Amino acid sequence: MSREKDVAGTQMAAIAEMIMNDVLATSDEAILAETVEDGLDPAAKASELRSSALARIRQAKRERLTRARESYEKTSQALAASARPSLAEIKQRIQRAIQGGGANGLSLAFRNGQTLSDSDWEGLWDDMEEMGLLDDGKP
Amino acid sequence: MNSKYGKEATLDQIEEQIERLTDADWMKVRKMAEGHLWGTRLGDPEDLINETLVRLIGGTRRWSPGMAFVPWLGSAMKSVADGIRNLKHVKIEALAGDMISDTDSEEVLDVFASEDRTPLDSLLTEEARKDAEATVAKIQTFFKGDEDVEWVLMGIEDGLKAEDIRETSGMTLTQYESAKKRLRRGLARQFPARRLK
Repeated sequence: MSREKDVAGTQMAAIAEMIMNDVLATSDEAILAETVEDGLDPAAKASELRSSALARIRQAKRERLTRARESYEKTSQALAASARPSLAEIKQRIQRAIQGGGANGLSLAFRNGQTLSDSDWEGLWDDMEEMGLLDDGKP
Repeated sequence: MNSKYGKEATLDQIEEQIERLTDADWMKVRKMAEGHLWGTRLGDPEDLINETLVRLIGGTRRWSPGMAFVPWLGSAMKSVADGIRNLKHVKIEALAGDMISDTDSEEVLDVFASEDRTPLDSLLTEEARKDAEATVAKIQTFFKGDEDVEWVLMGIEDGLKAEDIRETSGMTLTQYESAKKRLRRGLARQFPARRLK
């Protein structure tokens, strides 16, 4: 396709630019009056456009927040996992903390240790550590 | 990304700006969108507004709080429409209307909707070209006999600046402004959706 074939396109682009410049140079009052002449209710139409735009922005913010939360949780899970001692030590220290009253009298729904899965032990470790119940002087 | 207009706006800043837009601002945005619809597949000015806002929110169009929002939005809509009707879609979309650099004066003109013409610097899709040809023909027929508007149209066709059109036609500033207004209002009334099929 040659550039000559785009003459009409160039004209339309120039007309669109003229419209844009003229609209920007027109007073608010005149624009509102024109809108009414065109059969539209400016307040209602503006409200519709504003609501739609704000809804999109708020949706984007919610999505961004969800992504950030997921990323945070992933990172903190990874950090917690890397900071945990071995599973054997986890079991030993938790049992010691509970038996030695290290849980400060807190009533724990502590089942028979043999029924806990490894991830239960790790979760319990993270929870107790967060609550400061494993303050046994060890790192 | 920064420009001389400041940092790229955050979503909160965009939200604040949207909330600050008056009814008249929205109507201006809508009228500008109407003008840019030609040759696109978008059927309504609000489609182009939404499309542009989606890109702004998504970060593919960048606005900085240092830029006047309504003119920026006009320019961004133009770029989005150009991208849709253009054969070199990806390239144009990546360049036009985005955050401008200090050194790119042509894009500065684009963003601020200068009186200077922005060249149609790429090839149109076949559909857009046909739409443009049909639209131009209808516009010329519609305004036939309105000598001043015909001068404005001829000036646009020849790429003349406002003062050159006035000088060539002998129109006063008031006559020229009035002809331009008649042209814009006539287009809005005659072709409300700007899709002239």
